[in-house]
Amino acid sequence: MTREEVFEKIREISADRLGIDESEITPESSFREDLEADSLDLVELIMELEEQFGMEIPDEEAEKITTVEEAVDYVMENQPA
Amino acid sequence: MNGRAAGRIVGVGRALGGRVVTNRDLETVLDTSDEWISTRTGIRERRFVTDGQDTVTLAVEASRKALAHAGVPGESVDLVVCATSTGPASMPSVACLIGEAVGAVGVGALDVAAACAGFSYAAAVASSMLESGVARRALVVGADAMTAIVDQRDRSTAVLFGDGAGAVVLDSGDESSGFVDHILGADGRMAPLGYAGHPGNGDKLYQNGREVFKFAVRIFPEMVEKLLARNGISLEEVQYIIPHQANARIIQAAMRKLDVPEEKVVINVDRFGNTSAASIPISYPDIYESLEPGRYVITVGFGFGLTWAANLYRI
Repeated sequence: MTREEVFEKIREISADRLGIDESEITPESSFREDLEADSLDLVELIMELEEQFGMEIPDEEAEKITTVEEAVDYVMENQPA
Repeated sequence: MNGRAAGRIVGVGRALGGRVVTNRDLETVLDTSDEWISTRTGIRERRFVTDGQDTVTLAVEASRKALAHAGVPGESVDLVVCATSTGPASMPSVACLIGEAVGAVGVGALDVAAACAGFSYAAAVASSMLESGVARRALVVGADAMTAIVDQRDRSTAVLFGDGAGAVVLDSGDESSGFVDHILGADGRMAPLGYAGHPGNGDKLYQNGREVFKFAVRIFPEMVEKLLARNGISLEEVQYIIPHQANARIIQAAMRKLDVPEEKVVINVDRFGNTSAASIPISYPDIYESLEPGRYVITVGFGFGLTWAANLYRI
């Protein structure tokens, strides 16, 4: 998947899960501050990313993901071959 | 699977801690807020035991109500199964004391310890006994006074739990209505994710909330899908899903995954909090009169251990 495709997918998942419009989500958006996700939303988002991209995201890595761009970076670096 | 049904529910009852504790009440004693608790958990109030109440008294009260509702005497019960993790003593079992109180003596009585999955385990045990003919009428109880094992000063857990008991009377029935399938599971490798000592023990309840949440959100829909698939039943044929009431957010996440309409899912965590093994049987009195013969009820439990269990019941 290209970086653009990964971003689109994460934007779609985030909008759906957080009940917001996709247009409100940019790479710079912070899940907690801009998108108003709480701790359980983040756990669910990470689970959704794991499912959609076929990967396991360890907790210590998940905690470092605070923005949409960081989520894209993580997926790009860890995509299954 | 989906063969003879065993263990028809003929009476239901519940008992709750005598003190209603709202989120606002907790705000005054803990560094927490109504907003935080209700958005993270869906809980608005819970019941705590008052003087003289404990797991046993709640279990007995719920049992008496279920027997009265069924219109049968306690003496006619030949098996008592109680799911609990908060019995006041290691011995005797809560089930023995329930039997004594309702007049079911000289018959089988045992406790089942499977944490919040306890009632689903107990229902599987009892209905299997009825199916085999070992018993003909079972009293199945889920009872937990969680305040006995929760640290009331720990804001991460104190807000979550409540005290209650629910009971059902199961008859052998005519094989048309009753439990038709069960799923039981446990994985002791995950034991460190949740712990609580016995009542009176200083080691109070601890959980890795994040991991337990992930586990619950995964296992709940998985069990429902498995029961439907292996019994050839569609979601439309299911009238109610009664999940363990741990947290409304777990229930909502599972519902999204299953694509279940809201009216099919029984939710009372807002009123009672997490009452552990009691949370499923506590739900029956609210839906019993509306049950439609021929349709199904799925009960889903998950808890420390980790344990999980689900039951498919034909109404």
